[in-house]
Order: sequence, then structure tokens, then C-alpha cells
Amino acid sequence: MQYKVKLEIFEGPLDLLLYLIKKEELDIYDIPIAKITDQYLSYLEMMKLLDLEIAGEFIVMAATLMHIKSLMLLPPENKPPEEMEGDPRAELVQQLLEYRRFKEIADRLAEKEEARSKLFTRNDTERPLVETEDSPFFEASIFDLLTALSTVLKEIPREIFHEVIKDEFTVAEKIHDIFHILVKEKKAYFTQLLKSAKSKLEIIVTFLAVLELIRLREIVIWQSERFGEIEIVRNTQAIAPAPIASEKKI
Amino acid sequence: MSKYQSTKLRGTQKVDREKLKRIIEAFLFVSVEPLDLQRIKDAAGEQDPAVIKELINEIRAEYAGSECSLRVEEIAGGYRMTTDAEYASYIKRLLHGSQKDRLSRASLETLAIVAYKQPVTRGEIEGIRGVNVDRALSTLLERGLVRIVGRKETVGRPILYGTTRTFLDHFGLKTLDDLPSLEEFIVRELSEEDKEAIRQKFGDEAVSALDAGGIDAALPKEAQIKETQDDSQETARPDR
Repeated sequence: MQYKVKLEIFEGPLDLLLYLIKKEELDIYDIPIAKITDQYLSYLEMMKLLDLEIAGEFIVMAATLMHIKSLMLLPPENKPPEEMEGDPRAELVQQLLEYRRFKEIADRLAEKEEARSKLFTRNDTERPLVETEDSPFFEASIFDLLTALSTVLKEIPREIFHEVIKDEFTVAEKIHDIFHILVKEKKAYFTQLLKSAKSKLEIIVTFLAVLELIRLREIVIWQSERFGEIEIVRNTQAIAPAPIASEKKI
Repeated sequence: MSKYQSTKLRGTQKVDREKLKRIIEAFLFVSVEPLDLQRIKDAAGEQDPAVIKELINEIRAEYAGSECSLRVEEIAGGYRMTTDAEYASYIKRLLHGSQKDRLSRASLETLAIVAYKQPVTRGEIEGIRGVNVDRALSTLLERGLVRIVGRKETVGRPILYGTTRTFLDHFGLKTLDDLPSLEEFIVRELSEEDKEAIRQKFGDEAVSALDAGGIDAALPKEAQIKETQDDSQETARPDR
């Protein structure tokens, strides 16, 4: 697999942790460290498997989690004195709470942005509008994609070793296939795409093809409900960065 | 000459007042950016900003009362004439597009941090988000939603960022005070069950104390928005 997908992951370790907390319905005030560490590491494993660029911060967080986990497991007498103070998770929880707060604020800002966008003013004719589907769906994140991938990987039957099946799949070919499907039916379901693959390798290549298409802004991914089925649709218009509104002084 | 001047200065005669109102309306129509009272007052030749404000409110009442599809909104420290939200879908059709370019999650989160913590350095933003913010910051700078407000007087003299008037306009905010207070977000984190558990253990006073915004003494005290508001409002006038 020579093809390297350079998808910039904007989300960081805190995003992944908050994602896991939400998905597994964990209590942020009493995080089961062993459980979340395992989940976190499995996501990291998947990202490595896919050859995704993992930012250094992810690794640092992995180390932090394992450190906290070890502190939680040590009987109190064995802990070094400086670590005796308080809950070893406290600092991390603080960080998560603060970040989550800003995520909520971001949600609120998004609402205000939406409301404001319905009011048109004189200079709005100068800024091009973007052609997008009016959709009530959520934009799925890389972690949602990874979750879907892990579900599918768990379900595939043990690989049957064929004799001489030189079925090498390339990402480019898969991209072509996906386009084909999207042309025929306006949208595709992510897990279905993955399930139609017949081997682990094919699943992974399909996954990478989807990532590449996202990166190229050829497709958009949606979820109609949090942690639900992921839909893939063609991006009807390339979203160019908005030009700066010309401030004509009167 | 003096009779004419005094009439203008008083500005209370009915005819003059009506005319002044229409002048303001014309200004609002023509302007491509929010107009503040000062600017309207100067161009209209009126001394008293309170009169301008009164007249603007009359215009708003006129629009709201009638079938007019226009509105006058108080945005970004000034006033703008806008269309009513009800007509958004039609206008989008006219302009051949269905949506204004929205900000990504990453940009919104970065922006949220800058808005509440300003002035703030890139390092401080990254400390909260736990990830590199270069991309988001450059997008926000490019779109004029965020600007450089100075440098922090510490080692390395890192750049400080703050929001702009364009930011206020983009989100339909009057001033930074229009942002919901941080306390609101802090208290919401406790679920009803949590509160009930605390009530049973520590009594009602504990819950009221929490509701008053003191969830955790160890939380960093967020800088009050008001303290920083003056800075950015003052220098926010020419955005670029």
C-alpha cells in the first residue's frame, strides 16, 4: 500500500477523549481510566493502521493516560509522595471540562452565525454564496469514521486465504468506484461501502479512498443523528475560502 | 442666518425631525457596514446622538409595524439595514446559492477561545484545544474575524490575538457583552442528578453556591469580558 493519505486531522487528543466520553456515556467527573485508555489506544492503533498522520499531541496524551492509569492502580503506600495529593485524573478532567465548555460556546456561536446569515445586507451581493445541501444533519468527524471502520473490521469473517488472487486494490481505483456509486444513487452509506469489501485490505483501501475524497472536497459526510449511520454525498460545489468583504467607506 | 441655525440646532420642529429621520434611513440603506451613532450624527448635521437613536427606533417601529421586508438591526456597535429573516430563502435563490460560507468546527472553537479570553496568545489557545491552531488562526485572520492586538510582555514576546468588529457583525452581536457569560456554561455542566446528590449530601446552600457560579475553586478565573471589551472596541474601529 504505497498510497499515503495526507488528511489533516484538525481534531486533537482532547476531541477524541470527549468523543469517547460522549459515545460511551462515561461520567466525566468519574472517568473509568482503564476503559478510556484502552479505547483511546485502539483508536490510535487504527489511525496507525491507516497510515494517518498522528500529531505528537496524541502520543503525549496516550502516555499521560497510561501514567494516570498506573497511579490509579498503585496502592496508596507505594505512590511517590508528590503524587499522593488528590485524584490523579483531576488535571485532565479540568482540561476536558474547560475545552468542553468552549465547544459549547462554539455551538452557541454557530447558532448565532446561522441566525445572522438569514439577514442580508447591502454588501452581500459582493460575496459569493456557497452551494450546499440544506441539511439538518451533523457533519461526521474522523472519529465517527474510525468507529464505523472498527465495527466493520470486527464483523468480517476470518480471512480466507485464496490461492493466487492478485487482487490488489488501489486507492485510485476505489475512488473511481465510489464516484460511480454516487453518480448512480445520489448518496452512499459508509458502512455499506466498507461491508461490500471482501477482505481486510479492501476495507482499508476503501476507507482511505473516502478520506482522500474528503480531503479533495469531492464529497461531504453527514450523520443524521449522533453516532448514527454515516452518509456520503457528492460536494456539489467546491467551497472556496470566503473572500474578504470589501469595506467600501462611504 | 441665526434663525436658520437655531432651527437646525434645536432639531425639534416636526418637519425637520421627519426629514432627519428620512436622512438616517437613506444612510442606513446606502451603507455597507454598521453605522455608529457618531457617524450618523456628524453626517446628518445633528448635535444630539439621543435624537438619532430615537429616530432610528422610530424607523424600526415603522418597519416592524408595516409589511416592510426590511429591518434595522443593532450590530457591531452600530446600525445596519437588513432584510427580514423570513425572506432569506428567496434571497438565496436570487443570489444563486443556498448558504453563506460557514465556519468549520475548528475555526469556531478557536474563535470561541479568542472571544472569551482575549487578548490571548496562540500558545494559550493551543493549551485549551490541545492541538495546533495554525490553520484555524490563519483562516480567522484572513476573514478578518480575528486580529493582532499586540504582544505579550513575556519571554519570546508572543503575539496576542483579539476579535474584530467584523466578528461582531458575523455573529450578529451588538458588543462583546452580548456574548453569553461564561458562568452560564459552567453551571450547566452539572446534571440534575449531580445536583440532587450534592443537595442530599451538603444541603441546599451548597447547590445555590454552585448555581451562583462557583463550581470549582481550582478553575482558572476567566478574565471578565468587560475588562477587555474597552480595548478591542476602542481599537476595533478601523479593522484592517
